[in-house]
Amino acid sequence: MKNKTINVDYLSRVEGEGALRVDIQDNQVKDVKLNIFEPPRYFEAFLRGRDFREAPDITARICGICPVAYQMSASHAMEDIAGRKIGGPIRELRRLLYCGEWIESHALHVFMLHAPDFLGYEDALQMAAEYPDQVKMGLKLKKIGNALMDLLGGRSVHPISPRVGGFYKVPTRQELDAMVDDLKWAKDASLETVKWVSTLPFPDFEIDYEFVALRHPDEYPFNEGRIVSNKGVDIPLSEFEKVFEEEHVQHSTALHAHRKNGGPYLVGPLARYNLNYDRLTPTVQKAAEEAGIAETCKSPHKSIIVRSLELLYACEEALRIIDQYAKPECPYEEVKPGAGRGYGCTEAPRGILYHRYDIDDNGAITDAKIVPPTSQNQEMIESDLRSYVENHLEMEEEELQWKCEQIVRNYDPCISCSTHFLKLDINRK
Amino acid sequence: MSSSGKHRKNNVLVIGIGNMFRCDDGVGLCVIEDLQKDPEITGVDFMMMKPDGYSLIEAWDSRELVIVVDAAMSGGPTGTIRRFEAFSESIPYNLSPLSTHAISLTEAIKLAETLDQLPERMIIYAIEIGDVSHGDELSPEVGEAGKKVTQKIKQELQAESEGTSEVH
Repeated sequence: MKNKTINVDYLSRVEGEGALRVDIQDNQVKDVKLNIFEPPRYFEAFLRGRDFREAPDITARICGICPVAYQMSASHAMEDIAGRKIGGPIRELRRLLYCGEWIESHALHVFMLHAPDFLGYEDALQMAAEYPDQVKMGLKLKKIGNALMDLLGGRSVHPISPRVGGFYKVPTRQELDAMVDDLKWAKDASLETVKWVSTLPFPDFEIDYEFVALRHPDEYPFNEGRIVSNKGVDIPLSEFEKVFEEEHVQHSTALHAHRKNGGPYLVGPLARYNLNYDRLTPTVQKAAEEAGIAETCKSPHKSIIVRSLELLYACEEALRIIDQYAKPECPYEEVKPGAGRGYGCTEAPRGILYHRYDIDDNGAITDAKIVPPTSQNQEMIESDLRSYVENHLEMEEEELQWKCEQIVRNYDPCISCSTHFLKLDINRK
Repeated sequence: MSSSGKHRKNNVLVIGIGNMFRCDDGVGLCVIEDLQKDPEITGVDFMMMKPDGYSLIEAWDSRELVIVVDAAMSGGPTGTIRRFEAFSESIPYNLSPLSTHAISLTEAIKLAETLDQLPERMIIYAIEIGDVSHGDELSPEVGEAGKKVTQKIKQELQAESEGTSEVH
């Protein structure tokens, strides 16, 4: 009988606090648990009794990285109750705001959190000494994403301008035009990023994922679409809870989501990309082809290329929206829902974020359900770790621990969303 | 105070770091709010932010002077004020104590140094905090310390605009 224990007390470069425990007994993986011990935050409970108009601002507080996603999903759900679809320039500005969040979030993950894993550095601080140009590029891209969120949202952290029906204030043509030079630079920089990350050393490792993402008839998805998968799911938002379910597991304060018929699934950049490649622009498709991952990518490690391609897409889309922008007469449309139930699902940087609300005749929320991307990916992360450890049981402890940390980071988990430090224990008995 | 001193507009940046919903941790943000209300201060940029070192580097690059107000938890008496010249004194590692992701102020300074993106001069005010529970009120000691730091920063800005020596 072989007994071995690996402990990592702190896993860096993930958003939030949690722990990972891998139990190995007699050279067999017995258990893999992603433990999230951040206290549950009960957002769904304290939304009850609040006015429907408060949901975007309250839920935005769930996450400092993707507040836009929460505001968008909540706003769309309330508009759904009212039977309203917001179109025109307000819809375009919502996409533009999302571009800002994707640029900020993806730039942070690609350059600061993920790239050091492939280059053998502990973190971006170490990497900066030998790759200063890349780190500077990442910081500048992140800054441009933040600037877009500042302009449209009033501020980049927890934007204050979005509301049910649109925005409290929308930018002028001149204010948006002032972003164009930076966004053109960002588009070129993103293209350079795709080329750079495609040269990183990737292990030969693919997974037969069930990808789940939004799919829209004409667009790469941000705010609208049906929920689809590569394994047969094609449903309206209202059927999400018929197909997917959340389950409380004892080892985590976050709920685990999976298909009702069993099995983990993946949301996020890889899922969006594989299900919506045909909705990308010719520039992005060409860059993907040159990076060697046209149409399909099943490697969690290569998610760094896909995030870079989405960076490129977000920059191009932002430029398109600004080019065609005409300031709306009113920054919002009045939305007055009666009693009822509504659904919102939008593509946060890390994947689909599902909201469902019930409100009464007075517009007070009587029930709320929020399913963030990371709780949907948790089972997939555990499954990926299990299969990696099973295939590398003889690997030296220190290396195995490092590889497991990298696998977790491939998924860019946002533990703040799903319920902050990640502790890794590998126990061998 | 006028912006007609030796520095150009936008070359002085005062940053408050903290979380206004974690009681004393919001003190850096309160200092910025007070400074922004002072009509005598012109030609100075202000920023209020959560502890996110990456955004700090973006913000302070190419500036002549950056003043940072942050909360500290070193175990000292609540309300204690410490002032550091960031490039000539060692900085305690426990600034931005509530940062759970991103990089700390100290790490941001190291990264910016590697990337040659430091401002010409940086002054850090660290206020020792006590209560970091949920809420938006400062404890009396920290509130008082915030007011003192606001006054000290006004003197720093005055000295900078007049090209005189640093204030302690």
